[in-house]
Amino acid sequence: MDQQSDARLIEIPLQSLDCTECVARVLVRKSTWQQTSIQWTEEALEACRERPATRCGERPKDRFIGCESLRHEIREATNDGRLNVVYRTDSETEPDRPTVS
Amino acid sequence: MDNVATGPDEIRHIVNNGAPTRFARGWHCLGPVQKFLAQNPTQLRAFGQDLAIEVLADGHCVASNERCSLSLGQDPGAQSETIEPFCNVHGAEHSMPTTLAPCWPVLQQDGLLFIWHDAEGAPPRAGQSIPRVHGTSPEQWTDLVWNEITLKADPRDVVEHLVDTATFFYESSNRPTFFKNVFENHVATQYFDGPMRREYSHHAAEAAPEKLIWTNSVASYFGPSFMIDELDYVHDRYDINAILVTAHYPIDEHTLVLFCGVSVKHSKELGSDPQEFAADQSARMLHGFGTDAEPWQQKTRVDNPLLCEEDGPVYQMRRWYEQFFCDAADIEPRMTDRFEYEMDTTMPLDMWKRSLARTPVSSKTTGKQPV
Repeated sequence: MDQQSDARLIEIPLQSLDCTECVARVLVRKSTWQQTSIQWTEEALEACRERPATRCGERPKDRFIGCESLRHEIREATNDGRLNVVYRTDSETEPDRPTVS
Repeated sequence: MDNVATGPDEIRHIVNNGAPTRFARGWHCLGPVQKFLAQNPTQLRAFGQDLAIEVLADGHCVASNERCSLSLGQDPGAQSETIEPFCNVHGAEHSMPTTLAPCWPVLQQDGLLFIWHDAEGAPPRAGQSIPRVHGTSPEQWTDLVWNEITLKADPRDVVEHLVDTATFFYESSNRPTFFKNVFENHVATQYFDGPMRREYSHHAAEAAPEKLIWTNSVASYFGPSFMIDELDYVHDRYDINAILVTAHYPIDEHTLVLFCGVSVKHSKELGSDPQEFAADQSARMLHGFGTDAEPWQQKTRVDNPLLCEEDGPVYQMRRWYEQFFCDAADIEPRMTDRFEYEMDTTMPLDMWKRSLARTPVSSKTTGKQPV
């Protein structure tokens, strides 16, 4: 439902990306260089090697904030063009028109 | 779907699916136990029902529907067989006259009273307990200073504050350097790192030599209505650690009670009285919500908002929120699977281009060295 109604995701959907450190496959979307959305599945979470090795608790600051290995792979994939960036531009002030893949 | 405009010339119509037909499943805070001691037993309206809250002699609270004959001082009726097995006060440890109406599951901690609401009548779900507000060292903190207001508002609007990046950009005139939402299972978290949020500003900072320069905040909703925010106010000479609690419970379909509680960690650097500081922050937070509440009162429910790329993950938050309004058996992975939305402006744009193969990767967990 959310995917159907969110015009942002209709124009530029999330893309599949594999983590290089484990077999986790997630869906990723970047609207700008700085913005990243990651959709995990239960299988991907189980595959993540970093999370079980991180000391986590229940309180807000103790919770698992994210996988650094995946973050690194997203950065690489963005740099070499495997991941679309909706506003892929050199300047924040002059955004390109979004390109639909 | 015919309500979604797919081309530039199509007209996009507002979709209003109407308010949910039930109240959220989960722990809801009803306020400090102290409040219920002041007028014992207390009658209140919540979840569209009349509730009676009674504080027993041993300090345990009992929450039951209006027909609770004991709480209302009526002649004990013939409802002895209606006690639910999960009544964690009467069912387990008390030899009270079995005249009480079905009891709501109750949780008492940190001086607060919670009741579990579930339209299906099931006991509290495993793994959904509320964490302690102060963690393992409550002695290092002031008491929670508690305020409450009654609002005409949709609980969803209150909860959606967690994803409201537009507030930072347009209302507070500053941008977080780091903003992140994580939804997973019954918990929704917001990370905020950046210039001071206006509503949190410390009144003394304006006049005092200490300058408040930075805020670090991690806030989690545990279930549909109870949020703990761990806040660091970074000053030029010292930090203030605070905990902000935001909670609400519905009175009926149109009205809710909103709580703000603030606690501050004792510190010798903190010039002002910590309890006074907490009280001031609590009042300010509630005032901030009061301001937000004005548009809520006029707001039309829009179930298909048109968002720009700078807006937060509103649809994903609503998808997470749905899990509290459907039957437990109908909870779907799309509601509970982990989702992350991150905005990180700490890396300059030109760095992006040079960062390939040079990004340091945390080696503490994977053993991987930066390439």
